[in-house]
Amino acid sequence: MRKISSLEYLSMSKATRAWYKFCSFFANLPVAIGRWFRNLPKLFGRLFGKIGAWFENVFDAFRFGNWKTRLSALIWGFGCFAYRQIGRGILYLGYEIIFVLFMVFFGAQYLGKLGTLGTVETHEDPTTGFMIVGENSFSILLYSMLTIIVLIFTVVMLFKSIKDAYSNQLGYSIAQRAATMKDDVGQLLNHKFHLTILAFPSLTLAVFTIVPLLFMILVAFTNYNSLHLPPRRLFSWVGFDNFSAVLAGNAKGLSGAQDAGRWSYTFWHILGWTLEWAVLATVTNLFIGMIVALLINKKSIKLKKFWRVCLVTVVAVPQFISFLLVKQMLLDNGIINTMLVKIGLEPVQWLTKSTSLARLVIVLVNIWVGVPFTVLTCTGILMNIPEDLYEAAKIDGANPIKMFSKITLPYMMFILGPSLINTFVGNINNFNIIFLLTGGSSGNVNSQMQATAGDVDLLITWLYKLTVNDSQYDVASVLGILIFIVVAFFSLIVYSRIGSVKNEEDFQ
Amino acid sequence: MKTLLLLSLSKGATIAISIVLGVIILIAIAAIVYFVLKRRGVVRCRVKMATAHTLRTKPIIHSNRKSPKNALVDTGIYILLAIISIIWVFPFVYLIFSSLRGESHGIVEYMIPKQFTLDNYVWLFSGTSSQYPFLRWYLNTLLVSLVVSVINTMITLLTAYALSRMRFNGRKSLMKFMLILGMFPGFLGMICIYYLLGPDALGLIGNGAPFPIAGLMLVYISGTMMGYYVSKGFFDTISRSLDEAAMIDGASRAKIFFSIILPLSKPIIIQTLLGAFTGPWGDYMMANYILRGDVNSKTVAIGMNSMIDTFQNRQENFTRFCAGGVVVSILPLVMFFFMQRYYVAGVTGGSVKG
Repeated sequence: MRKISSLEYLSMSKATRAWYKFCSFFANLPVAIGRWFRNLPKLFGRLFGKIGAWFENVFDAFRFGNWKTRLSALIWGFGCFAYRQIGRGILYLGYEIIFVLFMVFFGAQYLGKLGTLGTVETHEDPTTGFMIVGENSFSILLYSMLTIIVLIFTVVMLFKSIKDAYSNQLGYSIAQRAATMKDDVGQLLNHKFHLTILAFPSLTLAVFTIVPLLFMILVAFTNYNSLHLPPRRLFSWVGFDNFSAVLAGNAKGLSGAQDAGRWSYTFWHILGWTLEWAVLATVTNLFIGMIVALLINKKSIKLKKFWRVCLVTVVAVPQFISFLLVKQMLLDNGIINTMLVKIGLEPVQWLTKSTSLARLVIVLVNIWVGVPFTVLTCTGILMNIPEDLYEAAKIDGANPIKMFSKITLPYMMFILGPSLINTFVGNINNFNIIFLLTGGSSGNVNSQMQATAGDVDLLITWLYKLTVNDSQYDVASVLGILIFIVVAFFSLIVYSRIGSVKNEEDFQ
Repeated sequence: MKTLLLLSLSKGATIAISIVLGVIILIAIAAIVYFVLKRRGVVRCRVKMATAHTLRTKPIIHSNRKSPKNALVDTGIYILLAIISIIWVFPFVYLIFSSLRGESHGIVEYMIPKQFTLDNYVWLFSGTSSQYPFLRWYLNTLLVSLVVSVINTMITLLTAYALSRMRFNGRKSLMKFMLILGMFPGFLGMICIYYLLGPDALGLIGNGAPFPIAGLMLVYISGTMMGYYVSKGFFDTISRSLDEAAMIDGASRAKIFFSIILPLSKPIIIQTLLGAFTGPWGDYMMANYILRGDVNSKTVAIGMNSMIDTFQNRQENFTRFCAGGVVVSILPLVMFFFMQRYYVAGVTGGSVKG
């Protein structure tokens, strides 16, 4: 793309400028992505530098500390007991004891089998005829993950114990007293309030989100599918076989080996529709929602409350009712077709006639369901804009259009920006509308696709079907990771362009 | 919990308890209405006093000058808004009419019923059908949603506060980490979560577990922390000079949050609360996977889907489904209408000037 001078740019009309910006964004995309990858080593370098500095700190503490500090690497909290911090010391020591017990009785046995995921399958004993329960690959993998996370946390705690002891030693030599339990608790409500706040959410996040995700990421590298279901059978590591099957069609490890190539065809097909859907749904909702919100909030419009109530109805009624109801209305003999016949038109098979019509109807229904959310959010934002901004603008002689483009719109985008990418991700993963409205299929079978997927399935509904109906956990995990890659790709682009992430301190 | 178990005892007991519960709920709603109205009076007075010096009554944009061009534009907007409203409300009118239809239970070719009746509602709450114990589903859902909404709102607001106001080591990394974590589809880890909650680990759900909806609650609570964005955006717009002033006066971080930030954040509290309530209230995907099997521990979303999932069921249950839809929608509707004004209450506009 030709680079133009700023004079040329300024002499363009508004529309041309917008078009130029739009084009240059896409023209610069490869360069930007390249730059991002070139910066990757630097990023990792900084990360490792931080970790290294952390180790160095602990090493220094160990080297320059007295015997009390050094002993607290072995008996945790010793450095606290020695300086009469009984409460803190008990916490450290208690954690150490629990950790040792955990490793001896629980963690070690699973960690040892992580390499093979178990070797003894459940089988019948040839001499006695009893069933012998073998190893369970699932629990081996899961509890190994859990143990590894506990191990990492323990290393952090160990280092903290040493550093605590060292800072006690230093502090004591200066002030002749170490911080008491009361000081600590007071700090937890003041300068360390974030620790108090984030402790419980982080715990649930770790156990019920991070561990399952790590587990499923690892499952993508195993053959955990309907042929290898624990506890009856074992599954094992297969490397990148699943990825090559889904992306390139080499279906050697999968249960449906005879239709090699179908997996990848299905994936690329569904990916295309998922992206199309997410862009359409996000853009239509944002723009229509914003326009309606501005219309309702226009100063001279009366009955604001009434208009809002009409829209809020849709927000308040649970989505599953809306979707199931609309599905009934769109049936061949549903109310909409009946009305069409009454005014003399042909009835339409909205959701079953063809794939493209079903897709269009889904987008329209999504506008119906989604716009009120945008309207409500925008209304909230519009009401929150400090009025002195407008007052100042008015004094400076700005007209309403100028005020809109310089105050209202930036302010809205500042708050909506992060939630916009959320909406986009939410739409990529919009299970409800597809599943409840169509079940993932419009009934028009695409013979080239895997039988488990329908023609209007999104990646997430396909993942759901593979998990719930077909026990194809390995492919489902691969899909999950690919969804992540897609989402991450778009988020990175958007986040590097939205000001609200960079300029957090604006609008203060 | 005990009352929930009682409900499976007998038909008579079920009806008695439903009547009692109904009365309690009615009284509660009446009380809420009373207090809200009372509060409103008080709040209105305050707002009037406040507007005297914050100039809130002054219009933001002077577009309401009386000129024929503006009048024409406004008429166009009114027509547009009317059309939009009709499109948006129509399905619910259909829902209500169908739920009152007496002559057939299936899908019919007209909208306004020939015979009005409340039988569909009575059928739902009389507990006559062991296949569709609607009252149980409703109470299950209510319990899950209430608990989850309160806990999740607390978590979201506190996380947003910490990330918006406090500057600690690893804050940026934490935000990036949660951002990345949020990019994975939530359902991906479901098999693993099912195992963790199931009979082999925690024993909350699965075969013979006494209270499987507790497991569902945990699932809803677990990922909340990642949804801090909107609240953080809101806190970022509250001027930090308020915090600084309070800190100079010796207030701790906790005190600042509870006595300065929270009272200023009513809109975002309400918005978070409603979001956290309606999420579990209408969730299908997670609930369907976690609460497999036992018909009595379902939530309304899965239960009501099973009422009309096949052609046969649809012909038998469509009007009952509609009645259920109305019943399920009432609570969120009431909440939205009473709390709606918080959406439009400008908070930061007048609190710190210049």
